[in-house]
Amino acid sequence: MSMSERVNIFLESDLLERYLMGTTSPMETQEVEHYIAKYPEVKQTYIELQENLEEYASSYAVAAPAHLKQRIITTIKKKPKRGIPVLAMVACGVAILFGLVTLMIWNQNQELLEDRQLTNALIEQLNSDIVSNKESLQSVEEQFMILNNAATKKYVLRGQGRVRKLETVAYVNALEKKSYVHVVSLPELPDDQVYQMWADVDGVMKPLDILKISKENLVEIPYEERMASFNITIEPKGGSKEATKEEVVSSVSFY
Amino acid sequence: MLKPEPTTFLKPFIEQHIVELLKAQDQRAIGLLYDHYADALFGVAIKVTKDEALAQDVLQDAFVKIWKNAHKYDAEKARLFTWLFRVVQNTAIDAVRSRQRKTKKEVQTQDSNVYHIPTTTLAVEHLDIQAHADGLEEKYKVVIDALFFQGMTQQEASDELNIPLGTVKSRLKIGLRELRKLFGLVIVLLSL
Repeated sequence: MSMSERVNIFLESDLLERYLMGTTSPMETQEVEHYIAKYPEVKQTYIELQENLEEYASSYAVAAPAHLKQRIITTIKKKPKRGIPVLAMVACGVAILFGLVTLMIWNQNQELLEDRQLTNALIEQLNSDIVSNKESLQSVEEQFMILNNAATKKYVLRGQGRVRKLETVAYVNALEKKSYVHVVSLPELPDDQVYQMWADVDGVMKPLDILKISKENLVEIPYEERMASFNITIEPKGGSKEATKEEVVSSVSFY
Repeated sequence: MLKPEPTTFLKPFIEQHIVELLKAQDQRAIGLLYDHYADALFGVAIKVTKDEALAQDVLQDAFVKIWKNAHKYDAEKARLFTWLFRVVQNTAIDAVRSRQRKTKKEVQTQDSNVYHIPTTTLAVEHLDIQAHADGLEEKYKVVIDALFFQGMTQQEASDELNIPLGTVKSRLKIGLRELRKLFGLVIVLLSL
């Protein structure tokens, strides 16, 4: 097919007219633009068609209202050329919200951590109290057992002379081989003196313990076989290895 | 009152100047566009909508679109008027269809074909026949108007006007050729 035949066939079709109206498909548009670019005759026809369109449309011209011009210009001025894109604004909003939520969650997390630490400390304290209470209970039970044991004997040591108010109760269980004292009251002594308890064993005074007011009702003291009596002396601070017999302030015999 | 047409030989320079301003997003472009093209484009909007108030809204929307889409205009592919015409024509057709949809919704008709254009819109008595185009035979004018101002495809025009598709095609071509002759004659007469 010759070039002029091809051009004629193209011009005979209505492609160019439809291209003018903007109603061609993308493929048709490509074809028309190819013909316009390649064939001057087609280009000239297209130019004429455009002129016709303008002339024809202009023949129906109606005076456009003057106020419309100003309205259009005002509308256009209101629209910034490069405003902040809506998506960017949304993204900013989301980011700020995310930040705030994160901060809020972090704060809550910190508060929860502090609460947890406090709770842990309380639990630890309670555990410690339970252990302590158990030990106390066990001790009280033991003391109760001892005091209620038929083999336990009770000896009351009362002060003489200047320490008349001294009162100590001693318990001895020969079967269990255990000795306890309950210091009821101890008159005050100079800072360099203490009360010391002794057991008379075969005529020899064996040191048992230095007496102190204790929270515990009963304090275990060393048990000695063949004890004949308990004695309390006033000794220099730190206690003595041998009893100062002149300073015996209380004594109780087992027989 | 219609604004005076600029001297024909100046038109290409004015067009080029407006395009440069548009591309630079210089707002003076809109003022110049309005001065030189608004009357013709308003006529197109009225022809399509048959409602002057709606045509005003169409013209305003179209100018805003022209401003926003100025970067899409390619002077190599179409004259400025061709591009402006298409924007106004499409905006006007959309406005008419939108109004028709609204009306249909209001009366709750069962017709779901929203793209259907009632035959009445093509009735000859509604066509605004102007003195300038009087020389053109009615059969060509009806086809050209259907395609230019009603936004119909050739097939739709064939269906609505009840003439074969081939006849629509040939009447469009011949009609445009006749117009060329008519306007050519007017130009020759004006230049005398």
